Amino acid sequence: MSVSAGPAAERADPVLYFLRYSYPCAFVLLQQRRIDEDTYRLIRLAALGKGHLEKGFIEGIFSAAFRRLRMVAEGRGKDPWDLDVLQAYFRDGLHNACIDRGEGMYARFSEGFRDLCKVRHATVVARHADVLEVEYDGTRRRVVAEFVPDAKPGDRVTIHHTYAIEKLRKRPRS
Amino acid sequence: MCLSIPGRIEKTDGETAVVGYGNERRTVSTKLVPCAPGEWVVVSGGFVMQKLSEEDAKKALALWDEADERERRSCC
Repeated sequence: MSVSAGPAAERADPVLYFLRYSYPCAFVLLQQRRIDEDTYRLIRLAALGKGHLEKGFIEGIFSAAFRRLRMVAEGRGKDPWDLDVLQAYFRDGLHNACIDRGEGMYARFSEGFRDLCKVRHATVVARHADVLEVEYDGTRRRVVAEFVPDAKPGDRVTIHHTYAIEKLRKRPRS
Repeated sequence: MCLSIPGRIEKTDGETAVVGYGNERRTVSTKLVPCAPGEWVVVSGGFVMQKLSEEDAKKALALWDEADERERRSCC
């Protein structure tokens, strides 16, 4: 999957960018007791831009994601917190490629179950208050609009789990 | 990242539901996916993301049970 243009917020803060993509997963960490309720709340607040978390703290929590991000970063001679690296990983398909390769736990689960983890590029079809109805590849899903408060029908967004994460520039008309 | 652990809806109240995970209970939102008691679901970010058949849910739970610590830490 490739994208010709960057997101609307081209110079997004890398910490905020990472946390928005990974916040929905934090619930799984909570279920596994790898983080406690307080940490979960801190991650949520930081993802909303209402708090600050140290990079080292975040790397410790999302250790598997950072193991992969470091590999991506090394290949590009960059820092794992470089926005280009984060975008390549989350927005432009490397995260999905890891899932498709069936690394670790992914190998055990069915494709349908694994698909729930993928980042999708979707079009907003309708907006109902803070919920967006989006569509990709003929699939419709409802996601939370909290991270893209101005999203409206026709906009292109990425979605991860239950959240719309960022707006994408519209594809040029051909 | 981010494979989810299935749970079962125990009760609903408007747009919230209590989901049981073994001995644990969590209150979640059903705003994205309306649910009824007894249904199996995966939750992410505090919202029900998808319903699952009982068969698929039990399969997924068994996979989590079988996984060792290293595997459990491999997704996020």
